Amino acid sequence: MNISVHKMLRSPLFLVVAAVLLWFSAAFLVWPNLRLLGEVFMPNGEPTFRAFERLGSSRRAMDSLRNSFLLAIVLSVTVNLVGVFIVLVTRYFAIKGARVLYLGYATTLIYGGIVQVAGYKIIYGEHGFVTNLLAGAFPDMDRTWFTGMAAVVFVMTVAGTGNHLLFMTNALARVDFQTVEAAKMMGASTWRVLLTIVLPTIRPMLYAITILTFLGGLGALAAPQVLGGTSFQTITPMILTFANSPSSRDLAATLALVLGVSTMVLLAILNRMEKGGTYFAVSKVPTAMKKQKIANRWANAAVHAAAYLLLAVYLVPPLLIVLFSFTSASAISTGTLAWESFTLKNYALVFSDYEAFWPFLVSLGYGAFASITVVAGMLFVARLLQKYRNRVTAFIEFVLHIPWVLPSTLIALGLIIAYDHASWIMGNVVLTGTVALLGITYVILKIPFTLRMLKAAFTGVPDQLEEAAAILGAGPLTTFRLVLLPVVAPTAAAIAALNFNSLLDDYDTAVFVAHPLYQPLGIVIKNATGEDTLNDATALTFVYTVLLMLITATTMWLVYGRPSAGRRRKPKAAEPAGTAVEPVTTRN
Amino acid sequence: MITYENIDVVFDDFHALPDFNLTIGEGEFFTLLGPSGCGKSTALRTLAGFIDPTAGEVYVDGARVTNLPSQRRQIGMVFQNYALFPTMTVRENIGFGLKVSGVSKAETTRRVDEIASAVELDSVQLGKGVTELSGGQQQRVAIARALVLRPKILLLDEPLSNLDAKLRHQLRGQLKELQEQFGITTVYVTHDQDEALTMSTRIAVMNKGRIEQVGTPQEVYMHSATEFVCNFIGDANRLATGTVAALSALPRGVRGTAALNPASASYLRVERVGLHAPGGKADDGGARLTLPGTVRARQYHGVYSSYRVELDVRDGGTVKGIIQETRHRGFAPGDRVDVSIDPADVLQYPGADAQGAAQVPALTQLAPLPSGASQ
Repeated sequence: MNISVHKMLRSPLFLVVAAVLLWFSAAFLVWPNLRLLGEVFMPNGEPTFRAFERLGSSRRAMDSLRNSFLLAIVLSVTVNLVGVFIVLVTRYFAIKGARVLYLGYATTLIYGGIVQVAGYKIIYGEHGFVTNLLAGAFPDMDRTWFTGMAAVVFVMTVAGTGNHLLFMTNALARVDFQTVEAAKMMGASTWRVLLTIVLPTIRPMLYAITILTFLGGLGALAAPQVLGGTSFQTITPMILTFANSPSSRDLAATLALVLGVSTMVLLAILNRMEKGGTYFAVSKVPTAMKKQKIANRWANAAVHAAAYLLLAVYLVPPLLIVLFSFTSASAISTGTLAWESFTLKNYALVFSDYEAFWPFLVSLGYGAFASITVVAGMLFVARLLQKYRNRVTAFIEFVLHIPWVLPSTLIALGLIIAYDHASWIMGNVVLTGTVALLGITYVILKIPFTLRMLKAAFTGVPDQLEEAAAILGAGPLTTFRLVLLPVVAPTAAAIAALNFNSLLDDYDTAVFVAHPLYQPLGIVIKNATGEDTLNDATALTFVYTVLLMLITATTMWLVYGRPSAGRRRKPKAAEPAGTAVEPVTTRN
Repeated sequence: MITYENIDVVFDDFHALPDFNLTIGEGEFFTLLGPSGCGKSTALRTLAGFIDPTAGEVYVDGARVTNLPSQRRQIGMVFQNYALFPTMTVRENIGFGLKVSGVSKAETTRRVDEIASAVELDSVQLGKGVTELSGGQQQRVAIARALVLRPKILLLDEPLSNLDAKLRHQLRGQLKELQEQFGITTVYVTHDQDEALTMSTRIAVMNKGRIEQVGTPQEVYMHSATEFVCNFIGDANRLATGTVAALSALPRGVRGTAALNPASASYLRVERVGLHAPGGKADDGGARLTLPGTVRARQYHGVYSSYRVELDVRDGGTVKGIIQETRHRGFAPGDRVDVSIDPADVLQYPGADAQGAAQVPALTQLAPLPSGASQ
C-alpha cells in the first residue's frame, strides 16, 4: 500500500529515524565517494584528467588492470566448472559417499579470504610443508612453484565454489522433478536431461553466481597479494600500494574508480537478468528430486574418481592446518611428524598470552560491535522502508545500497580521503587513523545485506498482525516491540551471526583503515605469510585459523544446518533459511 | 448504531467506494455481501480505521469517528487469517489488548479465563502456542481476543473462509450464538451467500463499490431489487423470450400486479419451477402457466435432483427446476414433462439487459403468443 509523504511526516518515529538516516547517508555513503571523485578529477580544485594520464603511463598499474580482468574471466570459467561439478556429484547424481563429499567440499564455506590464502601459502608456498616434502624427493624443483597466476586461480577457484554449494544447491532443489521424469519418459538420456532440462532451468542462478565470481576476481586482494608474486599483481593490491604514499593517492583513487565503474556495470547487467522472468516451474505439486544414476559404467567410474580427487584437493589444506595447530613449528618445517611432536602448547599460548590473544580480541570486538549495531539500526530502517513506500523512501533505500554497488576498497579509500582532516559534516572530528574508523566501515559495508534481509523478513509479516495490535490498543512503538520484533528476531539473529562471521577474518577492509595498535586477525595472519621460514608466529596462525573455522562452522550450522528446531514451534516466524536463496546478498 | 455518510475511498486511480451510504442498527448482525473486489472489505476497513476515506464521515452512536485511530473506536475485529501473534501463547494473544491498556495482571487473568470459557477454550489450550491449535480453535482464539476488550462493535472479515466445509457449517452456528449471547453489533463480510442468508439480520449486497440492495435475507432473496442481486444470490433461470411472452398473456397473480413486460429481463428461482408428469397434478390456484417440455439432463445432488427441461414453445429455451429426492422416482433425459410457472414468481428488471442477454437470441423479441400456451 502506498502511504503518502504527507502522512509519513506525521509519524514522530519516522522523523527521528529519518533525521539520523539522512545524516548517516550523507556523511558516510555519499560524501566520501564524492571526495574520492574530487581526488581523481579535481585534485587542486581545477578539473583535470591528469590522474588518468599518470595511470596510463604507469606500467605496473596498466599490468594490474589487465591482470584483474584476466583473472576475472579465467575464474568465471574455472569456478563454474568446478562448482557445477561438485553440486552435481553431491546433489544430482547418485554418487557413493555423497554426504562425505559434501562435507569435504563445504570446508570452503568455513574458511576463506586471507585465512585460506595464508593456509595454502604455508602449505604449498616456497617454505611450505608440501614444498619441503617435494623438494626432498626432487631437489632440483622450483621451490616457488606455487606462485603467480596459476596459484591465484587455483586458490580462488576452491574458495569461489562456496557460492555454488549455497545457491546452486538451493536452485537445484527447486527444479520441478516432474519435468525430469517427463523428459526421461520421452526417451532423453541422463546427460541430455541435465543439459536440456536441469541446467537451463537454473541458468539465472548460474548467471548470478558467474557475475559474483567475476566481481570477486576483479576486486581480489589477498590471493594475488600473497600468492601472485611480482608477475601477477591485480588492481586492489595496487590500490593498496598507491594509497600508502600521499604522492600516488590520486592513482589509487583512479584505480578504485575504474573498479567501481566496472562493478556497477556488471551489477546493472545482473539486475536486468534477475528481472528476466521466472525459470522455476511454479508447479502446484512439486516432486522432490531423486538422484540420477549414471548409466555408463566407465563414465560413472570416471565421475567417482574425479569427485574423490577433488575432495582431496579441498580437504588437504584444512586438515593439515588443524594438524599443524597441534605441532611445533620446527616439526612442520623439518617434516618430521612424530607422535611426540604433538602438543597443546600453541592453544595454551593463544589463551594465556595477552599479546597472542589480542588480535583475536580485536576481531571479536569489531565483529560484535558492527554486526549488532547494523542489525539494530536497520531493524528500524527496514520497517520504515517496508511500511512507507514512496519516492522519498525509495531514494533512501537507493542510497543505502551504495556499499553494495561499490567495492569495499573504494568505500574504505573514500572514507580515508574524506575524513583525514576536520570536516564540518563530521563535527570536525578526524576519523582517519582512529580506532573508530574500522568499526564504522564495517557497519557501512554490512548495511545492504542486512537491509535486504530484514526488509524481506518484515515483508513476510502479514499486515493484519499490525492491524490486530492497533485495534487492540497498541501504539506503533508497542506494536513494533511486542508483535513485530519477536517475529523477525530469529532472522535478525541469523543476519547478525552471518555478519559477525564474515567480519571476523576480514582483511581487505582492515588493511586500509585499521589502527596500527588495533590490528584484527586478518592482518596478523597476512603478516605471518610474509615470514621466510616457519616459526612460532605461523603456529599461532594455525591456531587462529582453527578457532575461526570452529566459530564459522558453528554459525553456519546454527543458521543453515539445524534441523529447524525453532521453526517447528513457530512456523509463522520469518525463516532465517531464506538467506540462502539470494546469491547477490553475500557480497562484502 | 453505525452510519456511513457519503464515504468516498480512492486508491491511486481506483475508486473503491463511490459515495457510500449505509446505516447499521444496534445489535444487528449485518452482512456485507458481494463478489471479491466489490468493496465490502474496504467498507469494513474504513469502519475499523485502517483506511482513511477521501471524503465523507463515519459515525458510531452519533459520534464522528472518521479520523479516530483504530484503537479508540471500541471495535473488536476477527481477521480473515485471524492475525494471531505467532510468538505468543493463546493466553498472551487474548490478553494482549488488556496488557497494552494497562489492566492489572490479576484482572487480565480473570477476564481472559472468562472469555475463554465463553468460546470453549480450556486451560490447556490457553497455555499452548497459537500454531499448535487447529483452524477452528485458532478462530475461537481470534474471537476471544476481539471480545475480551468488550467492544461496542465486532467486525468479522471472512472469518470462515479458511476452514473446511464441515467446520465452516458448524462454526457458523456457534458464531451466531455468541453474537446473540453478547448482543453485540456485528458487521460481517463474506462472499458466501449461504453464510449471509443463514446468519444475518440484514444484508447489504454490494457490486463494484455500490450497494445494490439492503434488506433482510428474505427480502434480498425473494424480492431481489436488481438483476445483479438476483443472479448473485440463489439460483435463478433467465427466462427466454418465448416463455416470457407466454407468461405475459396471463394476469400476474392474485395480487393483481401489472402484467409482465416481455421486453424486460425476467428471472425465475429454480425452486419456483413446477415439474410434473404430463397431465399429472393440476396447477394450484389456476393462475399458473403450464408448458410442455422434454427433460434434457438430470443432476443428482442427494437431497434433490435438478433437471434441465427444454420447452416446446417457440423460443422457449430451457428452464432448470428441482425436485426433492423423497419418494419421487424422478425423470430421465428424454422424458416428457409439464413445467408450471406462477407469473407472480417472475422477477423482472426493465432495461437491465446487460447481463445474460447473450443467451437470448435477439430475433425472438416480438415472438407471437404460441398457440399451445393455454394447454
